Amino acid sequence: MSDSQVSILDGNTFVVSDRCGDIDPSPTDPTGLFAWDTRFLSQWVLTVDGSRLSSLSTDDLQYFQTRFFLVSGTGTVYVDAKLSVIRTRSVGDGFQEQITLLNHGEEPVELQMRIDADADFADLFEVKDALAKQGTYSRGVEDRRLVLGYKREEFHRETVISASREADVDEHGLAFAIRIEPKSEWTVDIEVVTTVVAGGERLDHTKYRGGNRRASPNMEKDLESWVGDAPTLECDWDPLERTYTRSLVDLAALRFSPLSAGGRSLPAAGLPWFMTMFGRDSIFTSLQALPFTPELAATTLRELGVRQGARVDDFRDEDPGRIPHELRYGELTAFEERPHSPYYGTADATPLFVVLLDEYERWTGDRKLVRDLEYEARAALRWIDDYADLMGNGYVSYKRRNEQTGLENQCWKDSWDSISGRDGTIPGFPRATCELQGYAYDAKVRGARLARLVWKDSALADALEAQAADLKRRFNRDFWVEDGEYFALALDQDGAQVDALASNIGHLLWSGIVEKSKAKAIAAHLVGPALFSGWGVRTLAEGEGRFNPIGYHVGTVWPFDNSFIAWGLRRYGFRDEAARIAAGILDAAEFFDGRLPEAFGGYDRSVTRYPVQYPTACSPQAWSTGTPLLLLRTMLGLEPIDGHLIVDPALPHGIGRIELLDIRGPWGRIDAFARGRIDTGKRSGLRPQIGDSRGAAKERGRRSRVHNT
Amino acid sequence: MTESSRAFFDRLNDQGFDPRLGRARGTLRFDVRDNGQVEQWCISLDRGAVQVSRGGRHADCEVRLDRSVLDGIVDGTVNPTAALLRGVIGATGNFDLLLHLQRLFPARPDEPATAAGAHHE
Repeated sequence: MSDSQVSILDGNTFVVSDRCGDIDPSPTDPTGLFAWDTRFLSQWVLTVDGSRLSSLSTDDLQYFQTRFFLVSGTGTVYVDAKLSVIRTRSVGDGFQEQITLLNHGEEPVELQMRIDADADFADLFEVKDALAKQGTYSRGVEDRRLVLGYKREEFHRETVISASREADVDEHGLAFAIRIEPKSEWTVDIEVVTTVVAGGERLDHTKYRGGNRRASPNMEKDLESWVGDAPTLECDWDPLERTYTRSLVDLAALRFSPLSAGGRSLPAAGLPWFMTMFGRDSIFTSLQALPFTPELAATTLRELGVRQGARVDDFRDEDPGRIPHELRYGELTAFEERPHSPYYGTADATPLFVVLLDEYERWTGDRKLVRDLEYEARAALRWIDDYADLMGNGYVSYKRRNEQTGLENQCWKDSWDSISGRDGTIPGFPRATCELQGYAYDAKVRGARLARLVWKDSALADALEAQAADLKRRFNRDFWVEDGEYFALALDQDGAQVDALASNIGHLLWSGIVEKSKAKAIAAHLVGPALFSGWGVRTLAEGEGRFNPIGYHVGTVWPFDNSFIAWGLRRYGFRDEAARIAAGILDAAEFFDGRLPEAFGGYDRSVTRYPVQYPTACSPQAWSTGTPLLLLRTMLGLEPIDGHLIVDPALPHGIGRIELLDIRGPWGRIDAFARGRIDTGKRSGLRPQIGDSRGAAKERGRRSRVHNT
Repeated sequence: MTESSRAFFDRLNDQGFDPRLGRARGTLRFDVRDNGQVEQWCISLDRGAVQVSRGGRHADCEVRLDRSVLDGIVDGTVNPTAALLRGVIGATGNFDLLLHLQRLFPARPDEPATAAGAHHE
């Protein structure tokens, strides 16, 4: 989002406007009111006596609510401050806007206020790619409401606009004739409701008030209980507390409830382009958030599971057992001009589905869900062997079958140049990227645990463990780059190593596929100068052929990537290294007011002194939002084992105390305490950044106290 | 109703069990419009066990569609999710059941039996 734009959101409904609250038509920018991947308002302009207003300030009250303070006149030198206008907009199923006019003068005023409204009903994909519409528009006044419609065959969407006071409604907007006494005010509530018409009926998807068509939900209370249910963080470093709260609120904002979820929600991937369910993003975010809000994982598992592939369909890149990549609701999906109903083209979501199911059980003890999803988890495990091994060499690889609208790159680094050799050579397809093998290994190991514990199938467990051991042995042989002492980024279509050094090796630690004897070299690379920028691990190492510090997946630092790398380092016992990465990323968060961007530049920290944001339009983004949560987990060393929570902290230098209170789980509620050994009392003035000290995390946390409350 | 849709429901009922239905439990009703008449089918799912019967009862998920659309679904030419978004299927109630049932519908008839690259054996 650019600085001149204001956005509020709730689930997959969001509004992007300018700083006056106005929306001007744009065929290519995501400005407007969007719901279900469709733009329900493309114009929304407020005028008083025919003139637009000037912005004094905006106040972002909540993620779902903004207040715009305006005055009449657009002059830059002098504004007539006798009349001010306050617009308070809350998003729900559509949005509600309260407009208040205040007459500060000694005389009564008479004026005309007008809102011009229009809707182009563009599919979000059409906004992205600037495509033309094929259906017909309608506009009409029904029962003093302005109804804007769009129809293509049976596809039917409507925007219904109404006001709480007498208005002169025409086909292009609403007008009000207003008289305000001296020192008085005048208020109107305007409601914009987005509706989907199917089979002659309006689909009821009202999130907060079943059956009630009003747009304004009771969201404030909902947010309070959301934050209240999460563990409480107390620490001696204020920015971390702010970052933590920001993460919880942004996660609440990104909650999305598919129609089949019965009101339960899962994390959508990010604003504005990705406000929907994604296999990879929803799973990674749910993993990050498990110790804090385990309900997200449960819904993610159920909703992805129920949409698991059941047939071979080349258009959707669907196979039996494959977990979806992306689900969309817009016109292009409806008419099968895009394959997102859902689209299955990803190679990582399926093994990660099993990983999340196991991790979820560890954090909640909810074996019922593991039983409910037994068929889906088994089918996912079968997919790894039966459909993902495209080269017949025992490794998961990907190659799209939908060559028109399918995705070429089906791993998380999905840009065209992300997978390359040291010399910059880009391989053909299929590609077997290394982290996919780690996820497959982990899925088999964790699947074996679930088979033994819940499904009572020891034969399956034995088979999965044998396969996992074999995969690990082969992987450590075939992917190991001898002269560099790291794992190749991928194997190419001929099974040859694609040998660039990249952050993907950190995910391998997280998955546990790395042989102990090789782990030390991997950890050294991750915090070495080629990969570690001082803020975090770069996606591609400095010195590689395609390295570019502001290249999307070839040199930038991705907070989400780093959170899983830190988890991986902890898994192999590299406490200092994990703490160092946590410190760097949390320092960066401070520069972004606690809201980590999708990615930032891979410049060396000593060069820029601040993290340079990658010029992307996606914020907040779910897995960046989840990053501080996972980093808290790694710093505290939280590990759920057999119904108990192990706490084994390793704090970075600069943090003296972290307390995370009321961590929910099969153990009831537990408080985790961590102490660094630094003397926080002697600090004065500005705290040095925690990542600044060389060899950070020397001050290791003492073994903490754990008690049940 | 043409033979294809009826055959599909009959086969479902005769089969009695399909593991692809997972742990889904509940009832669906299909109201199938055909030349001004409505034919009703009830499907009960219980953790893989399936029963199909004729007639209208209240169900957890109620689906309304034209016969031609249902025929397209059971021969694989119509994708139910896209059709729902397009507005040619109306559905209320528990969508989760409909999504489970979708697993039983076939692939497009023009799909090769083994897609390129899918199963190397």
